[in-house]
Amino acid sequence: MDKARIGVGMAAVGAALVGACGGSPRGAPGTPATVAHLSSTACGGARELVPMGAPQASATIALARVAGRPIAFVADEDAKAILTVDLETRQPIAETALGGRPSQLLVTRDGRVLVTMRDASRLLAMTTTSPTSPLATRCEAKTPAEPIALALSPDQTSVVVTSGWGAALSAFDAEALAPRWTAPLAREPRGVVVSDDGRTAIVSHAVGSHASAVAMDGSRSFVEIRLRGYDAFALEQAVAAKAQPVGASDKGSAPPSVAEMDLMKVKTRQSCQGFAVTKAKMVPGRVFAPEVFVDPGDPEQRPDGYGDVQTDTEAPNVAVIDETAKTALLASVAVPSRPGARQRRLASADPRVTRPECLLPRAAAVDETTGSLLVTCFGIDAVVAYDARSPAPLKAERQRWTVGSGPTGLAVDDEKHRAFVWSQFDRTLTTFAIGGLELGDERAAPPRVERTAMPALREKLPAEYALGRVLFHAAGDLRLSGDGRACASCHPDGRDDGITWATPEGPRRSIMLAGRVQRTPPYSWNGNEHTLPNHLANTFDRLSGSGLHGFELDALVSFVTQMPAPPARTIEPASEAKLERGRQIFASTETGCAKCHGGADQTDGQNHEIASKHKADRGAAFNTPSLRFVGGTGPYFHDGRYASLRDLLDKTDGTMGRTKHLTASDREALEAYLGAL
Amino acid sequence: MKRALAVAGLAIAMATPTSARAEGSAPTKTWSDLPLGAAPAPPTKKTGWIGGHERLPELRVTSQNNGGGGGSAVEVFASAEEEKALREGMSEGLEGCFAEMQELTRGPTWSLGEPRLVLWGDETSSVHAVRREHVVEEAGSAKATLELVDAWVDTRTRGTRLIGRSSVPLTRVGGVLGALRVYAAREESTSGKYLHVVVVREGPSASAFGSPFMLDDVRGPRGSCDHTHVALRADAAAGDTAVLTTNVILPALPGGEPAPPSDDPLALREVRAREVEVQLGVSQTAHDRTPLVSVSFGWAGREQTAQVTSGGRFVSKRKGPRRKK
Repeated sequence: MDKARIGVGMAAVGAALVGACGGSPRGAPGTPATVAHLSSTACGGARELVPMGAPQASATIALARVAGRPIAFVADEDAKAILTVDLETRQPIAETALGGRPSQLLVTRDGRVLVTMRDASRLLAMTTTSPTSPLATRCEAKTPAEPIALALSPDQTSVVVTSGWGAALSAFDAEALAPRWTAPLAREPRGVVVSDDGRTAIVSHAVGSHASAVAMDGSRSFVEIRLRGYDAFALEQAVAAKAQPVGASDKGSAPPSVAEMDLMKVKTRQSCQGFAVTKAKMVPGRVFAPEVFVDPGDPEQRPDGYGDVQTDTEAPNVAVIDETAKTALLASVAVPSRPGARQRRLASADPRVTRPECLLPRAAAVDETTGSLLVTCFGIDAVVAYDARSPAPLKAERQRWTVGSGPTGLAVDDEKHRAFVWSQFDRTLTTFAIGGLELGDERAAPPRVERTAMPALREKLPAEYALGRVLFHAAGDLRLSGDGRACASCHPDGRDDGITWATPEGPRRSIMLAGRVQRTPPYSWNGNEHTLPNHLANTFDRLSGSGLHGFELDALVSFVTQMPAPPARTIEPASEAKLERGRQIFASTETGCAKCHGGADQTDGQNHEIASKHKADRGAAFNTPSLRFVGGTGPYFHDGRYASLRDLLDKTDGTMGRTKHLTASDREALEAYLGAL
Repeated sequence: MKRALAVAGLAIAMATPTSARAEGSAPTKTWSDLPLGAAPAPPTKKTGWIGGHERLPELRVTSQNNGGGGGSAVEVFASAEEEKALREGMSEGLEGCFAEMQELTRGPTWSLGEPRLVLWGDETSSVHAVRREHVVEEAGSAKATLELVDAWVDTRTRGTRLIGRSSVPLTRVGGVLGALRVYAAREESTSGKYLHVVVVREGPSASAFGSPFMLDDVRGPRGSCDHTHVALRADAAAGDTAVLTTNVILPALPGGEPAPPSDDPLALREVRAREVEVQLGVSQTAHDRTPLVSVSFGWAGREQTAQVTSGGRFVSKRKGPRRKK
């Protein structure tokens, strides 16, 4: 750590470099000796910095050689820094302070580290010529709100960046980071890869049961790739019904399309938790998208809990996307007809008969040597290896390794055939040998996993908050739920899963928590819980969990009330007038929006009847939800009946304020204003 | 002499980790690496009646007492010797493995196989199409052959008539700790493209844990032979998968207790056993010129201790070994 401190201490030396590229306010410097090896272009890299392997997509950890020394760059979100870690000693040797939260990073062939700054909505290009020196910012670009993942085109001339809260994919010239285009997408994009031919970017979404395939030609056109689950037996029947005559096609029988499946009324399951997406050279044309199938229950029914306790409400999956056809291989989204893990566990007296499931997948990479798809899982704190050649990788689990708490990213060292995993919650770097294709005898030769603690944060997280974060993501903890669900299952990144659940009160949309819990009691759609601990206790009960108590409950409350809110969306100067007009309409007595949605948090905390009772609802009055962040939390209303804000404004006239009298442009202004809250 | 045989029986199942890894490390085969073969599809037309005088040497058909239920039931064995062995409770090392072809709903061969096949008939339907399978492995080679005999069996007359004989050349695509060997072949026939996978067990069956082979499928097929055969559709663009579950005996741990010497082949000893998955898949995306084959392995459960006779038979931990009277 001493070396790291020295590295940080040298930050002042690099002011000239930062200035040269018009750079970042807190960009750390390189040493004078390194300057000679930097590219002469304004945003160029250093030839001493070489990526290990040929990564084209980002992660919270990336491997490289700097001046020949193998190192890992870690996007340390809690430290607001990039750690440089020696791969052999696994000790930190430098630290680059960023002044904001880095999300993911990627090392380019031209000797740069591209970093997304989640809270600052910036993309940085950094470099260094010495492994023990901090990275220096060469140039940067503005992105839509909350940039997360990035990927390079195969020729490395373009870099694309997903923006979670900004709901967009942006392309930049990779050399200068000059913006090229931005394509608006559906909610909560996360991971991204670019197809082998460079024509399509495949984007995963944390919610919404789909991925997006975005044209890289700047046309901003995209198609949604449905990643819903299909009942396996019904799927088999549908495929058989669609089968072509034998020998009709060299390419095989075309599977039924989504429309045909809908026509055949094949039962589907929603999906979410699409944080990671990856691809591999050894299986070209395929993109792997870990996700979780969700069965929220029949909204027409009122089960005892959230969803039907008799079924597996959540089940892990890995969708395989055919990047050419822009569809998921149906075998990869078939929901097994056999009993799920919960049923098998209940049927056995031995709780060890089933492996804990990966219900919070967060990162993925493929080991090109064995074709193992490695997926990190929050909650169970494991890396699971699947066969990437399988059309249904979840059915081909090869091995798993236990890693540190909160594994947000992993990288594969092809040279030494090992993996490195960064775990954010306990600040550890885990490494393990990936091994061969053989099935090992784990007692005779236990897999060797080495975990190294990184230095403690200078600005420590409050202990309650840190514990609460672990508990929030504790999948498989029977205190929280009987079926393995974690808080983060319905509230990915503290937000909402976009799903309407069947509950004892009627159908209920999950609500966004991040940044809007603390000041918005009472809780639940019925407003019948006045304190958060009571509301959480009721939630655990409905999830069939035994509950948390004492300091652990306090810790969870601490995290839920303090988790980071989404960053502000960028408001273009051209939109300011429209937003002001929208604000005026919102505040006007004619529309009456502010009557219930007034104040700083846009809620009066009261229950109202607005003629929105669903036939399965017990009551007709609902608590006024805060409108904070409402633009990114659709679909709307307690039962998710309105797909968009526009839909809501068009259809609630007279029952929830008045909008009928608004002109089209005023309605647009009101919608824009709501979207900016 | 008995003791020597008993030790040899165990030694097969407890191959060293080194040799086991060599098997599992076999490079992944591509579609075109696999030998070309074909397993005939089930016959589309039924035969009405088989004379009692018609007999095939590969099938032995005997009557089964059905309790006077009005129908006719027969049992099919590979030979009189195997019938005798099965009736005495021995189920390992048998060559006969049967499946009823009418039930082959997925691919031309969808048979997990039984060494003894029970067929039921009634007034309207007494003739069944039956497949007998047998795997011939080439010593010291990665090659094997799946020998198939398809025949009609009449439950009323016990007559048997040949439909056809065929063989499928196979190549080794993987294995598990010396206890499983996995072979595969490709079929590109007028019936379509199929991936044939044959899994061969070594050593005692896992009867203490249930059927030796189970398939993760909604129909839940099981098999009790020393091998099983799965055919996956390779020309379905949706992709096709199967997961076979079986149990294997794990090698003795270094420094573990040596087997106590015993002259009694039914003497018990404890071994480590574990459920293993053989994970199979085949698919073809728009990018792929040929189907992509997936054969992988994973542990399906935790390690358990099982009891096995010196002769190599699993027995239940709760029940003692069955002894001849």
